[in-house]
Amino acid sequence: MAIFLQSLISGVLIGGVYALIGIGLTIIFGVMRVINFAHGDILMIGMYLTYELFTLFHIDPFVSILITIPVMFLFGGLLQKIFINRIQGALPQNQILLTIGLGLIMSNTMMLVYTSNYKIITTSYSSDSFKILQSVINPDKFESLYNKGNALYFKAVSAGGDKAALLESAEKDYAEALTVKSDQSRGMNNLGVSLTALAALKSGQERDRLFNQADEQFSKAAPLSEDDFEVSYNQACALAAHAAVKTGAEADDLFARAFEKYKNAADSRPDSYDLFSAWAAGLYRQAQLKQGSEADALYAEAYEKYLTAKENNPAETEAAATVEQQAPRPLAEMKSDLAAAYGNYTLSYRLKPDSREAGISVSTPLAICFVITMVITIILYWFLMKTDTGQAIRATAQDRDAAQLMGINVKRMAIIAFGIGSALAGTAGALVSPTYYIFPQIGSMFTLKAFVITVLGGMGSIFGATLGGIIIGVAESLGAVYISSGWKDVVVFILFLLVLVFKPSGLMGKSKM
Amino acid sequence: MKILKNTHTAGLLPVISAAAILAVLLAFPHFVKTPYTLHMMILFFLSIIMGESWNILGGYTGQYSVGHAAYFGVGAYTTMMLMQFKHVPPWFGMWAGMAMVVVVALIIGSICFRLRGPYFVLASIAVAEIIRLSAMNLNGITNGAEGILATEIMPLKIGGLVITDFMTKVPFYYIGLGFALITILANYMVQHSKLGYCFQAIREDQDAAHSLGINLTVYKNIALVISAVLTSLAGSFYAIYVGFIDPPTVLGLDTSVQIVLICIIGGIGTILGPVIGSLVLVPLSEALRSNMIAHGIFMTGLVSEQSAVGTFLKENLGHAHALIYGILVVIVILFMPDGVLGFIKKMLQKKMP
Repeated sequence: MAIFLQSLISGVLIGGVYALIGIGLTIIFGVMRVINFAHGDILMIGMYLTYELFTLFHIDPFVSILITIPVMFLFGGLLQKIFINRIQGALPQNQILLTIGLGLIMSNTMMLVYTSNYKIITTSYSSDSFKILQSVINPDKFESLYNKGNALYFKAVSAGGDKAALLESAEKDYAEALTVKSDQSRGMNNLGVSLTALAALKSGQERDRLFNQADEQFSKAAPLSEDDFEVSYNQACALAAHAAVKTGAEADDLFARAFEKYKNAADSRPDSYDLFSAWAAGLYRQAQLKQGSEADALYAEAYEKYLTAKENNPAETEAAATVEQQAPRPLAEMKSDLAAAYGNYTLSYRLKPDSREAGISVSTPLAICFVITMVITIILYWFLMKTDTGQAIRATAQDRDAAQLMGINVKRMAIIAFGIGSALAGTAGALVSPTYYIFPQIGSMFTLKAFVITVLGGMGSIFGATLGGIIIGVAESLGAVYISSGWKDVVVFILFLLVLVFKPSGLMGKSKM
Repeated sequence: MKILKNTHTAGLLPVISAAAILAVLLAFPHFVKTPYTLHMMILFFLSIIMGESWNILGGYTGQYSVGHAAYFGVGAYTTMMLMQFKHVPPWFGMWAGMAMVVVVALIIGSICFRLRGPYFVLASIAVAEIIRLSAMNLNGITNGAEGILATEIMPLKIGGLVITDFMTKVPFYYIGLGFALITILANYMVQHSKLGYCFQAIREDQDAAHSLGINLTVYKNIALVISAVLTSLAGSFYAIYVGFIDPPTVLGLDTSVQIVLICIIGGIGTILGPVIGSLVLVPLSEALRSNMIAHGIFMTGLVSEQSAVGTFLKENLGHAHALIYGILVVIVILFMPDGVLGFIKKMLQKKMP
């Protein structure tokens, strides 16, 4: 569900840009009855314009549309006046070929100037994202409680404040999460960790109770977990911490169980630094409680673990090698080394990594892009519906001859329409430039998409193009997730063919062509 | 119609000149042995095959397919895959390619011929793109984006006799010439048959043709199959001659556009059109590709070869050889809507009323 919504939302966001491209094409088609095959190439020019503004003048791509829009409008108007105007009324095939030719000229000229190397616009927010719907979109209650617990635990460990209170609420969240889903080893592990951390702050019977509860959680978690390194490590640390506050046989028992767990953990990850330091620290603690040869043996063992830990620490690999060469070292030196390393050693615990975050991640550039496209679309609707020029454009699109009879300057409308179409394509180019590679041949991809969008919505229908853009964005996004990213364009083209064959006038089209 | 009349009235002259040109072309490799010249001639033949094949559908029947790369690519892939993966000699693989293309063409035809005008153009592009993307993604069958490189071509044998081992460009020259003649002949036959008249009736007015009892779907599909089969021949020939194919080069939109441009520039719906188009396009694009234009600019002395602009031109002009297609097509559409051939005819008619 979360994956579905995630791809749905990113599909809608990119669909906004597609809509802009489609609206441009559809306005041109509506007014001039010419299918503009150079549309994607105009977009590509918009991308390069944005790129130049960004690299030369450090103008942010989203701000640069203020320059891109008028420049591309003029470019489109000129293109219409010089070339397209001459084939008004010619065979549709020839019109198509002329725009194909213009597109080839544009892409190859850009290739001549910029070569076919990829260009990238790297803004500070290019790879940023943020989360939305965190309280609504979580796969289940477990995740949200689990995440809340994690947040509280990290707060307790890192920041000051009332540690005990924070840990207690974390413990409650984990415990509640486990009542929702009782088979989650990560929940048990983290509950155990928070209990252990809490136990360290308490004393007497309460401390024993907490340690025992933690131990119980770890024991339950271990068989359920796929990779039980974290669980074994945490359990061992908890046992060692518990043993450290006990004496006599009770301590010995706990230490013995702790070392057994350390050994388990070491089997699954023999290259861990943390593990061997903790192990060595535990042995060192026990040695301090003992006397005579028993203690010496423990010191030696602790020192051995200490060396392994050093070896596993990439920062100290060389130091470890020199130490090893001097072995066997006298006991006194070993003791002093251990004392230096573990005199003030504090155990650290490991929360199970959290891979299933709640909420939906939204790419920041795409979100900004979507907001801008919406603003532009609304302005465009207003322009076409409310202004005189807009109404004249719509009149020309509806019936060219009648519009001319009504005194509308049809030729001027055609220039304006082509200008608007180009400005929209150029804007779309500017808007996607922070997220796409820029290269001269990218145009044909967008041209094809623009056709699919406009045909889907109905040639000449602006609302249809908006809808078509969003449908295509979503279809692509869902196709990439549920089929594969290689096949996502095939999904789009098949959709296109289905619409062409079964409803050639498009979803919003009125006249059958 | 006009050409038909001309051939009858002008009598033997065209026949004699055609025979003379053919004789020169047949003897050509005996006098010119430089591989580069032969290479150019082979590219010229290939371009004629592609153009004449498209001409049957686009020129005579008026169905502007901008997805002919689909047939070119399917032919190329079938022949190449059979040769590389199954060790089937290309002169058998070629037939398999044609059979495959017939199937593909009938599927495409049944979808696209429901549409007319610009919608047909868009549908033909979409189908070709689907095939390209499939070739790209079906790694296990087509080798995906990596493409297929021909490691060896089996020598052509009849009985035990080795006809050719394909070590030089000469066999390719004659095969290309042969294929080009076949496609030209196919165009001639189409133009002078009842079938061709039906095609041309569809081109002039679909609804009128329909009311005269011409079954549009059947005749359009016939035109498509003939055109597609010949295009697949071009594809197979290209694959074996170049020895390497990948989805963008044989199935890309650029290839489809190039096929159309050969006809548009020469003049569509005529036998000579694609030949003229190839005569214009092949040398120009090759001159750009091999940097002849850059060298020409240096020779005029406008730009020095050592200057920054000079090095830039030398390095980049070759990559932009498609620029010439764009410029030509714009000029042709704006100033000679009937292609170079039509333009020349018009000029001649003006001079000799």
